[in-house]
Amino acid sequence: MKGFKNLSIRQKFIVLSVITCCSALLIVRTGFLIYDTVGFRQSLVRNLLTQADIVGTNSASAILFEDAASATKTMSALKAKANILMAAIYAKDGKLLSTWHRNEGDGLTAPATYDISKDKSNFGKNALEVYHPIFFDGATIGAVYIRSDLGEVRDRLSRYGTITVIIMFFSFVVVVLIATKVAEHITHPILDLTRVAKDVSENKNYSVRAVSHGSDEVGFLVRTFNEMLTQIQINQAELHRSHEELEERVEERTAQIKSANEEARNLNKFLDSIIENMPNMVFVKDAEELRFVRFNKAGEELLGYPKTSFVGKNDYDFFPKPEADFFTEKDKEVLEHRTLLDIPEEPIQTKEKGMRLLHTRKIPILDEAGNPLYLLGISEDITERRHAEDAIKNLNDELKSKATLLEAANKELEAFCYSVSHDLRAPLRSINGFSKALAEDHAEQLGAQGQADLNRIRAASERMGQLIDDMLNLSRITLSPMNREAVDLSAIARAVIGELRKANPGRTLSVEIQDGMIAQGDARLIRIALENLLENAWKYTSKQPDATIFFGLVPGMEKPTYVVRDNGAGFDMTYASKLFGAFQRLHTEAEFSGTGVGLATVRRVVSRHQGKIWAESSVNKGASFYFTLS
Amino acid sequence: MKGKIVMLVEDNPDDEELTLRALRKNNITNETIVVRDGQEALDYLFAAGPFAGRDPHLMPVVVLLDLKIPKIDGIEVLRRLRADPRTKLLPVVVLTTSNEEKDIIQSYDLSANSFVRKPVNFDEFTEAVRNLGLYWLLLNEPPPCPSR
Repeated sequence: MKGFKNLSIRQKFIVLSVITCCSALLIVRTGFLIYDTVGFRQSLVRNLLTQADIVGTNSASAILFEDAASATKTMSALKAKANILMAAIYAKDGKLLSTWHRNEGDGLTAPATYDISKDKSNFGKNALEVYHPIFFDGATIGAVYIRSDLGEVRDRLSRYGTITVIIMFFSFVVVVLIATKVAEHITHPILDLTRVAKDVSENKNYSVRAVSHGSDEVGFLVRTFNEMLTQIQINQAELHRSHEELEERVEERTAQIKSANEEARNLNKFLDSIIENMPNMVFVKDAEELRFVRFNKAGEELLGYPKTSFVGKNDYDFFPKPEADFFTEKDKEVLEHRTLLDIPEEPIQTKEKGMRLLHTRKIPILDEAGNPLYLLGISEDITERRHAEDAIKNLNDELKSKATLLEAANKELEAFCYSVSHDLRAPLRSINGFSKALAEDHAEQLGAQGQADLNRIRAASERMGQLIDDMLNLSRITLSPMNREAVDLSAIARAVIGELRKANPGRTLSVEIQDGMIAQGDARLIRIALENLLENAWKYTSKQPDATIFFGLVPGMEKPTYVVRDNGAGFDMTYASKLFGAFQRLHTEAEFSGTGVGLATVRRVVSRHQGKIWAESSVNKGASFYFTLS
Repeated sequence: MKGKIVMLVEDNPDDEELTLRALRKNNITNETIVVRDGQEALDYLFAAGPFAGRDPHLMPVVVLLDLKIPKIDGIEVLRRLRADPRTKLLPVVVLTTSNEEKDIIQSYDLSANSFVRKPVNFDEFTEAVRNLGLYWLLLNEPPPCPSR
């Protein structure tokens, strides 16, 4: 049965047809055989009974006379019937009277007694036995027994079988031929369909169609199959189209993602390079465990560890415990308060640079919900700056102490000046006053010489008073505070000259003062300086018949440079270095009166304005005093 | 000019003598009260201490006040005079050796009526005293006596 399953439909059909046909034929033949065999057997029995009747009739007299030999003689007539093997006759008493054998000594026997009134036929294995009563005058006088072999029956059966086999063979051939032909018709559309299905399944070719061969079930199957193929083809096309569309979109999206990635990479690179190139140390810790996530180049250089060695580590892996404790405490403070923390100074132990001082700002980086994600730290190495500051501070302290000293010295000087102005002048006044009193009260006793001497005393005391005053004025110029403003030098010079003209109405001299000379400075001090310079010019031109004084700007100088020029007595440049010293004089009191404080005063005023003063002159060729007020 | 008192606050006997001589030379013969330190000056003006019996209403027409004087210096004397209603309006001329700007400013700040520097030259000094006498004794109308 297993083999049958794997046969093709066509083979199955042929096998089925053959089996069906042969089975039918076999059944019919068997029926016929049975029927024929039964009929043949009956005719055989009838035939034997007829033979028995003939033998009985012919042997009636032998029985009546119990003549066994006659009876045997009668029975020998059965010789003609080749199938009868043996015969016997029973007497009226039912006892065996005589027997006949075709072949003597064949060993066949008949039963010894028999109920002679009954007909009886008995088919044995190889023989047919028939018993038949013998009637005479209406009475039963004995019985005949005939035994026949069944060779005829066997022959007949054998013939029958042979014919059946022949018929079966021809039937088989015919059936196979017909079945093959019919099978072709039935299986062709199915095979066609199978081929198409195979093509579809193997090559995914949905465009092929099975050929319809009729309107039976197979035809319906083929049509349905074709419809299914059409549907699949449509779906396939649809699928293909949407697949392509999808692919296109995927490609587009991929490109987008790629460009976004590129952009993000570029941005990352940009930010990276900013962080890396920051001159200050930049580090990032995760908020959870305060482990380093990021470190920049400046940090690497400062601390002396490769920046990759920081990642995943914390402060305790690099710094002494007290330092790490401090850093961690500040970190926690920042993360807790979520605001920037400025640590102006924190010491840190570095690998190669020893202890450094940092100015650190710690900033919490929060997520959208305001929870800290990271801690950003920016540290500036202020060690050098701090040293410089310390140096400056020391210098400042030194300066301060010097300034204090200077201030004390100035105070002392001030006190000294105050004391001088009071205490030195008072005795002079006494000398002068009482000399005068003496001259007035005792003129006669003194005489002319005495009067002259007293006059000298008085003149000397007055000159000393003048010297004290000049000295005080000079010191005041150094000590008085500066008050800078725009000062009109031209106007001051004109006012000074105006006063000089008023005080000396007899002098005729030409004075030229350039207009619009404005400088930044202390008006009072500048006035003192100009007074001294112009008074000098006035004084030293007093012996010059056509005296001229010029005050103006020197053209072509880098800084505004002023000059007071006269055509008076002038001086010898050999002594120019003494010119601006206090109480230094290049002329005698007899030539030109003075205390020698004027130019010293001018130089102090100029130097208090960070300016310079110098002079050019030659004897009797006039003098030029240049100064700048910076 | 009669009955008008001039008060001189001066510790230096030379200066006192020269001042009195200059007054004399200029024919200023008014009574001149000379006190030699700041405390004495205040005592006199407020009729206190050794001057307790004095008529406190009798005030000098002008006080010539030196600044550098013992006990209470001239500036402090001026401050106290100006702080007291009795002497608030009293004419005070600072007559001193110094011409320190600080002194000048402080004096005017405390409402000194004048600031005169004593010159070394006695002729100039005499001239100054003469001008002062002329001005304060003749020209100037003194303030009314506060409690009279």
